[in-house]
Amino acid sequence: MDPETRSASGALLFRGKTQAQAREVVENLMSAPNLDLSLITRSAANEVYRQHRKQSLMIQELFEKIGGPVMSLPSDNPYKHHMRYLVDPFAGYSAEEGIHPLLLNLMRTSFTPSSDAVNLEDFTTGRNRMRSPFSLQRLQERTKKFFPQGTGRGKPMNHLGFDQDGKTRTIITWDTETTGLTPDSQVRDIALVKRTITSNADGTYTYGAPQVISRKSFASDLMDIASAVGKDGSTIPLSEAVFLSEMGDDANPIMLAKFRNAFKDGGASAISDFKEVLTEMISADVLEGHTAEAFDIEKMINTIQRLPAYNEDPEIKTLVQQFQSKVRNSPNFIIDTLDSSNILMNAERSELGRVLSNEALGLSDQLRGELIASFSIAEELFGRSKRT
Amino acid sequence: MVGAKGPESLENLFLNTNFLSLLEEGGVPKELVTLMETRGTHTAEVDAMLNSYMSEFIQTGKLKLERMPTAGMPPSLLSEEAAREYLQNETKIQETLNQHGFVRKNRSLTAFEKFMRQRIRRSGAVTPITNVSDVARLSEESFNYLLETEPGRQKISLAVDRDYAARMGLPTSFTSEIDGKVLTSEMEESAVGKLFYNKKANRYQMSVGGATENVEKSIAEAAIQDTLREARQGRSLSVGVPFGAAGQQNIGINPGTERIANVAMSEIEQTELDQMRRARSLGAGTVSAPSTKDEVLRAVGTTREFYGSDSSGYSQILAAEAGTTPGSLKTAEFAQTLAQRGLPYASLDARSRVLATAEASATSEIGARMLSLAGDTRFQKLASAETLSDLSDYGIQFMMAQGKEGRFGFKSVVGGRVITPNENSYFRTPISGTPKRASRVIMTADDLMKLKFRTFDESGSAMSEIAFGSKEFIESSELNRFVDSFVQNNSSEKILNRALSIKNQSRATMEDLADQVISLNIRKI
Repeated sequence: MDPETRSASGALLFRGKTQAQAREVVENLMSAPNLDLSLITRSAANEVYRQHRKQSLMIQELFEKIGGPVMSLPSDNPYKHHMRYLVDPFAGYSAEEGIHPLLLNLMRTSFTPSSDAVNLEDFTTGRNRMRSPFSLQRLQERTKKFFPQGTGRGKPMNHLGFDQDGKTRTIITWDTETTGLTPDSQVRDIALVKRTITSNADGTYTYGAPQVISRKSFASDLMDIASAVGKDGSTIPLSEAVFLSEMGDDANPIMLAKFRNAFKDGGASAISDFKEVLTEMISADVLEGHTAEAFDIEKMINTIQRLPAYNEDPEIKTLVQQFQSKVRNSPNFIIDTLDSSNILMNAERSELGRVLSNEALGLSDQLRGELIASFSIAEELFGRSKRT
Repeated sequence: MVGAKGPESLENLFLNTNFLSLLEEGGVPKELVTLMETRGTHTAEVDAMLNSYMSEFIQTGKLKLERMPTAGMPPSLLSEEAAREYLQNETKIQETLNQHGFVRKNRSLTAFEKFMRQRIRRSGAVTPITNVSDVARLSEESFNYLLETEPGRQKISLAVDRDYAARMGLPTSFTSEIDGKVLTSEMEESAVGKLFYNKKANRYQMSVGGATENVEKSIAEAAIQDTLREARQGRSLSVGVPFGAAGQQNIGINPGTERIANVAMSEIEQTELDQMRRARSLGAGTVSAPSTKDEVLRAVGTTREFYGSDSSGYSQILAAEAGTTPGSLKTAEFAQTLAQRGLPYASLDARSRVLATAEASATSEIGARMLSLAGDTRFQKLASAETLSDLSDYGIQFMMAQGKEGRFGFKSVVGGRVITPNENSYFRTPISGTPKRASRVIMTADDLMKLKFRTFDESGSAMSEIAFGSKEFIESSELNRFVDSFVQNNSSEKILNRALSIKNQSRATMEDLADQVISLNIRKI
């Protein structure tokens, strides 16, 4: 990382670190799933964004040779219109070659045109979730194993990247709930579900029954700026009201006390919980989650490292390092099912496009395009708003 | 899980594929059923468990895009032209999609699927700024507001199935018109209708897919009230839904809770409404003015007295009263004390009131500058930041007026040239010497839609009124004027800045608009 392009926040990060620690930090940054532009100066960030559009999305060539994105997705924001390309992940390549990095990038990129878009700059693409080259390369490598039985609707999609070696592996599926999406939001609920998978030599898989092996919930001040009312009319902080409602009859005074005290006293109780969680995670062969790579890992590590108790507990520091090291060095350890479902649903939409292109139907391009977009989202979710 | 509802969000994958059929085919795990008794999606355990199955169905090639059929109705999102073409070719499109497995052949839903679809639909991430997820947790006052008042009921939208629609007299037939020909289609057993209040149309409507029908107010309100009363009983009303082979599994649900699709009121809004109602009921709406210097001095520092020692933010305001009953709430005591000591806005919710005090303190330097520039000797004694900060409990905030930044020594630099901004109205601050003019009041789209353009006679009485976005507004060349500019014009990520730029309006109209803008912004503080 060039010191010339390091911003104040980046410089602070390095302050007081030994060379080895600084290297560790830089390696974690470089192997992060998304490019963190907040660590570099505005001009450097602009340049990274420009190069991402030019080289990773090849936006100029796309617009010249294929035209603009045509799939319009519904948006709650009346001033934003999200558009995507209809991407066939299998087009033009054999299954062994995997999915081209450009296609992987295009599949998760929304283009948002201004109301009077006349040039490429008027089609913005997100700056916050640009996939890092490290993460992209890793996913591309894994996609080479995706289709051992060839591509096509209904064929197994080996998104876990397993070899057909007869081995039984442990997979943990996890999820977090947070206090919001702001940078300072915290993990308030985390759960791990464990099961085994045997990768049979004939290309089939044998799954064990999934079991919840861990659930940790934390009362958070960030939630408790709102409250609810209990049956007796007493005030209950929002996070506790949700906890009690979810636990139902299982809630008992010991659990409630643990929940309430999680982030108190520097977060010692939460740190203790996170130690259990990290130990389980590290022991798994595969750790999968929806948006795990893009969001949850970063949010969990941030929550842990911001608790004062983190600095006083060498054991949690070691576990965090071991976890980050495994994420960095074991290519098939972290699976983001957002990527997997993205690839599958793009393939499904492409197949739908082919079916609707049947000449016997004689549909216009407009209806075909709009039907594909409509079929992208469940009817029940149209016009749904969870905000006032 | 991030609360996105894009094509790859978990909730969309659950609802828009054959996921639920696959889950049921494999035998619904008991652990999941137990979890779903009390939890929806957007809880870590449930999402992790469901995603574990999702991953399996991807790995084994079973997961497919699969929609429920919408016979006779165009799918959502189609433009008018596309919907017309769709309806003209509906039979052969449906047959083709059916043949290729993109539309489900079996039009009925199992009890498990019905339950899961309801639960997924109504679930959402719970945060202070997301909407109320369970009316059973509302105070009596907030619940009664939703149940008994018209604006309250308009905040509720329901997801209703055909049986409930028929029972409550809601539409089960939907009509579409193509080239003058009226087509009628019946609601499928598997379809879900959304009953909601359409603010633009100023009436209740129900939609299924891309078809919408108007609903009589009395019928819509009866359905909403019936559902609210049912949902209010929480888990004490539990109706068993049998599913699985021979129905040997059972899950208890509150049908009303499952039917509420959205309550357009966030968790923090309902909290603050409660505090304000409580404060008023305790007499905090009537402020008694302090009559002596001692009383004034006592009033100063009231907020600090109540919340000043808290170091962990506003959440402590509520955390401090966890488990207490309304009569002994610290927020209520705070409101009463403010009123008794003659401080304004006593019946505002505690968070907003504390924030107002903090902002008054933070803007005291601006105030000192303004008062010293005012030239009015009556204010000279107040013209110090320290004095104004001490008086922050009175909630007086000072802002640099739009276009008056020059009085505070600010200048604009455009292309290397230093320019003193011209003073102007509340709405615009033109920068001389540039081809484009910048707008300085930022409003949300929702707020903009509330603006009214009124004309006044000499006595100040309103003569006419045009609503923003109305037909009259759209057709008026003097009102329907927007100027576009870009923020960060030099960067590759330009942001469009669209400024409303009305012209040829009287001073009274502009002042009235300014009042509206200010009050809309104050409401958000």
